[in-house]
Amino acid sequence: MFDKLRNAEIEIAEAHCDGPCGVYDPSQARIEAESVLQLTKKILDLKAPDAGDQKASAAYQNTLTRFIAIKEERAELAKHHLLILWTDYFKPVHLEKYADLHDLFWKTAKLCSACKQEVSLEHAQELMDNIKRVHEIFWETKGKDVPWFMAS
Amino acid sequence: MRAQVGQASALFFMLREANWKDRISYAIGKLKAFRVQGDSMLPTLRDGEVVLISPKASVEPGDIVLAKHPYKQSVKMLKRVAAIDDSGRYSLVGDNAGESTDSRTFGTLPVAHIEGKAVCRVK
Repeated sequence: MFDKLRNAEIEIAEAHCDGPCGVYDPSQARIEAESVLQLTKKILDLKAPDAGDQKASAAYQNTLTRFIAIKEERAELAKHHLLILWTDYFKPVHLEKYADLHDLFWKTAKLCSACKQEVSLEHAQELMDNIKRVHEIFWETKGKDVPWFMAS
Repeated sequence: MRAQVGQASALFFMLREANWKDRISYAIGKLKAFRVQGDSMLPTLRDGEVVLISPKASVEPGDIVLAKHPYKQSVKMLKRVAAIDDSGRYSLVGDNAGESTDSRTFGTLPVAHIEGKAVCRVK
């Protein structure tokens, strides 16, 4: 009689979060920020062609424009993923343990903007460093030991 | 903020295991069985575990209750009563606060939303 308590027909009582999927991972922001860092390097390394070589000039303009466009897009995506973590995943209870959480996200989101406005290796690296810190805090709150790594 | 009539003094006390009296109460319909889904009541209740609910037991701060979700009509949820205010509204919080949507998000609930108290869990 009591065994039926173990069957699957028992009514469900939810004990979870209202997030539609509940799947979060700072890796999304990390991958976009890696693109920003790599594109910043590529823009800085790009050599302008000699004046007068129209074909080379067109190719240069095209490549530079693509680098800039993708850097812009990826920095915006990094910011998007960071804001999702900040506003949807993290809760007041996390703020009690990580008092600098708001400041970290605020500064990291601003670094995404700085990476769009500038061609700054320093800010692109700082963005990666901050996302690494987000990664560490995030997985600590999950109680999982997930080592930091980069795809590039 | 309103004065709190009752407030949980010691959260996270564990739910005892069902004994033979609980089993009889369940058999005659005095206790209802529900299966836990989700991690918001960890470490007290695990995903997949079965709890027995008493619809008639009196509820105090610190108790785990089955409550109707304020927005989703078909959803019932298990949460800990953190406080009951002087107008009789219940503040519910998951034991695993970092992975719980509760009164911190949807506010306090009236007594009509409280469907019963969790009295034990089934091993």
